[in-house]
Amino acid sequence: MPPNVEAVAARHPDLVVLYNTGPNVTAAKQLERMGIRTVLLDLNRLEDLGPAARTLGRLTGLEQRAESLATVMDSLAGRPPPTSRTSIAFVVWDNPPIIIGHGSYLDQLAAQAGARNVFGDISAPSAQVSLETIVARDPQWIAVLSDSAVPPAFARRREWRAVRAVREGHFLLLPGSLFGRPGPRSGEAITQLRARLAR
Amino acid sequence: MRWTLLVIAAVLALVLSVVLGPAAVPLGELLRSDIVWNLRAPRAVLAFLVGGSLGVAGAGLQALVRNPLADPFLLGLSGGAGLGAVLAIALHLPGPWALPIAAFIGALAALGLVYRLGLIGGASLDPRILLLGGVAIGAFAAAITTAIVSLADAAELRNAFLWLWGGLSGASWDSVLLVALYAPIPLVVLFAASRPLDLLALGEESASYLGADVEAVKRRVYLAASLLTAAAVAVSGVIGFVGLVVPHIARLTWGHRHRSLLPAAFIGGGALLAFADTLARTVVAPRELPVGVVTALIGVPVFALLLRRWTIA
Repeated sequence: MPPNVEAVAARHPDLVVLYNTGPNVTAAKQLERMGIRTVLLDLNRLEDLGPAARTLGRLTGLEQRAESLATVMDSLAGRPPPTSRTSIAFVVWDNPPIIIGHGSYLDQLAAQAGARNVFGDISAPSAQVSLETIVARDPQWIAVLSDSAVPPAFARRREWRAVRAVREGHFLLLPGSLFGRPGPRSGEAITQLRARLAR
Repeated sequence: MRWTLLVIAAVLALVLSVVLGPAAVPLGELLRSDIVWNLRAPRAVLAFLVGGSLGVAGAGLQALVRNPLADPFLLGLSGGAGLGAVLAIALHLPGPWALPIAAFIGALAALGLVYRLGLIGGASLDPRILLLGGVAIGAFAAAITTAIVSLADAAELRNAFLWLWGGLSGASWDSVLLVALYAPIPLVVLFAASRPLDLLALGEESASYLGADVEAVKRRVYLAASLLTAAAVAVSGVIGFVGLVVPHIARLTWGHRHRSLLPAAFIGGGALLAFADTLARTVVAPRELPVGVVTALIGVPVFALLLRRWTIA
């Protein structure tokens, strides 16, 4: 959804930080025309974190602190992933089944945590697949972004029980605030995911 | 001859949808494979039942409103179902069947409102007002749906739209059983109205002179076609073009007599959707296309071809 430009301008911010998407590009232009400084950040993958930290540091006059954060983030993104022992599928939605592919941040998280995304051959960040493809690729874990502690409702649907991980209750329920998007806590997300896969 | 061809096409579509799929299942293991029994077979049967239901519902509604553009989803049902689905997600309704049930209730609510609007001029159901009311109620429900999606912060709400454009991913023997028990009732009502629907083509006045109980037929056909569509949307979302194009294809080949038109629309709609779903699952494997895209890509050229033959003849 595009932001309400007038409501933003009325608060006289010194800087407006926007995620780089079509509607936000238009909003940024409108705000700039009113003399409000804006910055559009691409925050889609681990390697975007370092540059984003530096950009924000420059704009807020906190270059030194930003550089220290950016160095940590760059090393996180540049680290060669460990050899993967477990296989995983990220299910974003159940009907139609939408999974996470190679182009996504979650795919990077899995790799860094020592897991292999069974849909790593799909180049798009996310894609619709057939349930039978999930059955055939037979992941050991089904990961779902969820703040709840109980398995998702689709776990009880008959067609999903054809998936072995679903039958065996091998769900990884990942809280959206920590796992949903790349950020300064990405390192913590990787550590947590690794610990949960090892259990 | 044309019936034989139609039945062969239907059987072929069903066989292909069981044999073909993104996962490699050797032919020898076909009958023992879990993927075939629990995923492909129910999906093929559900596709056939939903496609057939949409074909018959479309043929019935086109005759009722005497408008070739009538589509089962034009009468506000998709808007109502979408609103129901979004509410189910926004209110965190529990259970694996919450979403389809909410969508079904939403479609029924839209049906009731449109029906009430159709009776606004008195005791007689006005087909023109049904069409206008359907479009209006559908737009109204879609507006509320969009408002909820844009104001709520749950990211999963956007997925409700995916579900609505969905397709047959949710197929299981449970949903097949549900449709197989439910659909025959409205289907029989529609088949039984074949003769009065033929008469209705002559105009309401002429039809009543020829012995048709016009008011009763209009109500029965509208309710039966809408109830069929509501069930289809609950198990498979909004699948476009089957209900619009299949009746026309059937009419170009079988003529305007509903006694043969309706069964042809059922078998043809079933075959088209089963075939389209097989393509949707396999052509871009391991990814999958929304089945509505495929029905349009197949249905429209076939329709254009028949239209050309028919206008030249």
